[in-house]
Amino acid sequence: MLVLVADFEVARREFPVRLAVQAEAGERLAILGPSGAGKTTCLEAMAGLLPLSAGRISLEGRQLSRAAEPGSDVRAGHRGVGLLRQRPGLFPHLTVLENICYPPGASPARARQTASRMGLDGLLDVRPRGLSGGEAQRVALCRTLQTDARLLCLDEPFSSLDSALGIELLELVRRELVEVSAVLVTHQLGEAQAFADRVIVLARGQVLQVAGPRELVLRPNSARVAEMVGYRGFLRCGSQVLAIHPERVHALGRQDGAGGISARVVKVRPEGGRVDAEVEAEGEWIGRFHCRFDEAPELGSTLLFGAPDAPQFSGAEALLD
Amino acid sequence: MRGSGIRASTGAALLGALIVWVALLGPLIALLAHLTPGAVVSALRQPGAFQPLVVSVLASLIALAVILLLGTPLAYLLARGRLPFPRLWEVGVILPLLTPPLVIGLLLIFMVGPNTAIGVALGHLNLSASDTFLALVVAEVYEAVPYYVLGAAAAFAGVEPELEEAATLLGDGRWRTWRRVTVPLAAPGLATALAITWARAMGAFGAVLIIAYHPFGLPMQIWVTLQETGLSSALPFALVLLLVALPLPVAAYLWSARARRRL
Amino acid sequence: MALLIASSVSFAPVVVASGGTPELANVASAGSLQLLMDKYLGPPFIKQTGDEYQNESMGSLGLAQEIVAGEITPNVFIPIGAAPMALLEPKFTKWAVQFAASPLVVAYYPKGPHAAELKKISQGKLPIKDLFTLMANPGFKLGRTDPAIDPQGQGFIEMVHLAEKYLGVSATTAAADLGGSDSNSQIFSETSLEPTLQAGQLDAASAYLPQAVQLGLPYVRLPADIDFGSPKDSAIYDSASLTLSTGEVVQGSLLDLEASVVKGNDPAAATALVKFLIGKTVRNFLTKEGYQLLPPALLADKSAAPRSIRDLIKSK
Repeated sequence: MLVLVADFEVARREFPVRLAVQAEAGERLAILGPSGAGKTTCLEAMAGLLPLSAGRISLEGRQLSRAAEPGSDVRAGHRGVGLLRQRPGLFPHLTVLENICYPPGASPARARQTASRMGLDGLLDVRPRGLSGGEAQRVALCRTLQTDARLLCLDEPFSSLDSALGIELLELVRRELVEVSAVLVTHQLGEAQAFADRVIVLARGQVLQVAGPRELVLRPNSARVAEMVGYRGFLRCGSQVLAIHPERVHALGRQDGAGGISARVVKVRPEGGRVDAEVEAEGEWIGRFHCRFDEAPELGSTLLFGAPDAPQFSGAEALLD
Repeated sequence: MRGSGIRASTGAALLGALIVWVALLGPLIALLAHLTPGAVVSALRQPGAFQPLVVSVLASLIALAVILLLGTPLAYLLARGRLPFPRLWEVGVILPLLTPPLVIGLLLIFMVGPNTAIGVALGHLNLSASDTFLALVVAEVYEAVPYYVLGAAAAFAGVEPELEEAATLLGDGRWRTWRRVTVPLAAPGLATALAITWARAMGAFGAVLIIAYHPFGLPMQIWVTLQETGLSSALPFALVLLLVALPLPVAAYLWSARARRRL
Repeated sequence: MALLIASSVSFAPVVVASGGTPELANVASAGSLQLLMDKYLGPPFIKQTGDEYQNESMGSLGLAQEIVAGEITPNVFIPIGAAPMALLEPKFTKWAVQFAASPLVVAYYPKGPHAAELKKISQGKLPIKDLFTLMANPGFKLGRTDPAIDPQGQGFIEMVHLAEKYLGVSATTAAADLGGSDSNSQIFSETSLEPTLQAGQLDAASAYLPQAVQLGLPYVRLPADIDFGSPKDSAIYDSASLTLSTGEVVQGSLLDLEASVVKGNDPAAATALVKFLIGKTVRNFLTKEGYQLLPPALLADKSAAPRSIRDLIKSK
């Protein structure tokens, strides 16, 4: 059952941001893109903090924003959309429990339950300045959950934390949001893959691709997307461009042969109990691999590599800018 | 070497601070040195001695209420940068501050004197803003309002807008956000701004001398008594002014400091 | 009228230093004398004697209080009226020289609704009694100074009482002139009375004749027997009295300009200034500015005055 139906454009200073997305109950989405791409703008539009210049947004059949009638837009805070920012925004003059109970519909009993599930039991009477970054974001999450939001927008809430902690907290969020749809904004592929059922790639206000987390890496639809999901080497083969992912390339041995990529070893470096080697093909860095000390290649030697599923692009899709 | 250098400069700073502090308290110490309890009691026993006290306190409370009501929205809008031509508004608030109170009084004659548009309008309501209690309140408001607006604007500016946004996103309307987030967080700064404003209103003299000679508040009482019967009978009223004007600001400062620590 | 006739101790005669190190004549003078002192007396005095000069002008009674309390230490005191000078006797001075008078007038706003009528009264085209009837109108805005601290304020009230006696003004009219039950709203500080009148926010205000002349305000002259400016009517002035809010009773008296040397520093310069005050240069200015000249006369303990001053007065 579709919960979120959004197809809108927001005017920004440098370029407009366009997004068309649909989500079902409990579905998790991620918006992936470089900074300045307009990811936060999308969330702010859904939360009702920005007016639309075109299109509309509706949640569970209820129209929230419409460009044609901005006066009828539902006010932020009354849309059933929660927004978690990078800075938790906890009220410094209230305790953790008072913060969580802040939303008008909150009840202390429910608040304590949620807090307990988030591991905040001993902190309920503490003021926000006594909390660590991770604890503060957990409190912010509890607080937002008390609003019975049907859609939760997460604007890189854990990017300032240790990445392992961030992933752990994302897991926590996944578990808590059983029936609630969520949209996570991130510039880190790993976070998007860990969290989302579908990933939306956004650059300069345009959606480049929407795909599942694995499919996005296996089948990027353009060189630009390929670069954003980790492809590092782009080799010309006639009118085609071949994209090489450093973690999806393997050595075929030292002979030249058909179907392989010959690459020169440009760096050989011992690292701990093994050797790190980096290779380049046609001046493009295409990868790094490990081998045992006794198998280490010589610097400058040529090796053959295979990238069996490397995507190929031509024409406009091959452009990186 | 470095250690003793730091100690010396800290010591010099402390000494300087101590000198300034003692100098500031100098007049108060001189006042207490020149008064005997007997003189204070006999001055206050004069018929009508409490009238100026009542007038001052009443007028200052009303002035404070007016300033609070009119100055708070202005201070908030200034702090949030939501006024068009913000520099113009700031200059407008600072100008009375830079104008000597005497000049403010002279200019108020042109604004609310009996024959001005405002004066005539007041006259229709049987009121007057010249030599009346209303005039006293007006003079005090003009002398004190910039202090409040500037102080309150600084207090509101110290409340991070993202906290107000968070409250909005959690479902609070404008008024509830104001009441539950903005004001509690700005409260310590607002308290000190009010304290200063109260002190200024109670001690207002320059503009009061010009447009509100009567009814006598404490400052006018001191001025007239000085010329009428001399220093020794005027000083007790100076002490009364201090004793009445001080408790509120002191309490506000102490509360503000404690509240700030808790945040 | 509180002229003290002091008893025994005479003022030590002072030798006027000539051509020696410059001394300072430190003057405290009545508020309305500020212009006269700073413009017409100070610069010529400095030029003629080579002494230094400094002046502070404020309400005469207030200045007297400050001198008595030791807060200020001028060596020349020039008040209006006898009461302020009397406060200084005998400790700070025992004599005074009276040299001019400053009669009361009623100054008015030339563009006010009553200006035309007031002009006719001032030109004699309407009887002076009409002035008091006009001022008694409920819509007439009159301003005056505080009788508690200003001789002009006291004088104005006494003047109205004298008008009852000598002009046949009725008691009710007189009471209405002085504001009736709301008399406080007529009272302004010296600093603000004239500016308020000039701004057109008052119809008329009490003033000294020289004040009105200096400020360029039109005014209504009062008859000599009630304007406290004519020495031969001193007995009449005496008959008016006023009870202040402190309970003190003050008698009306001539609004004269008096001067004296106050006990303190640089007595030679102080004496020189007083002599200059009763000299020709200043008297010319006094006339021009509207003061009523009086032949210089010594008051109180005449023998206490410096010899050079006594001689100068005798020679006039």
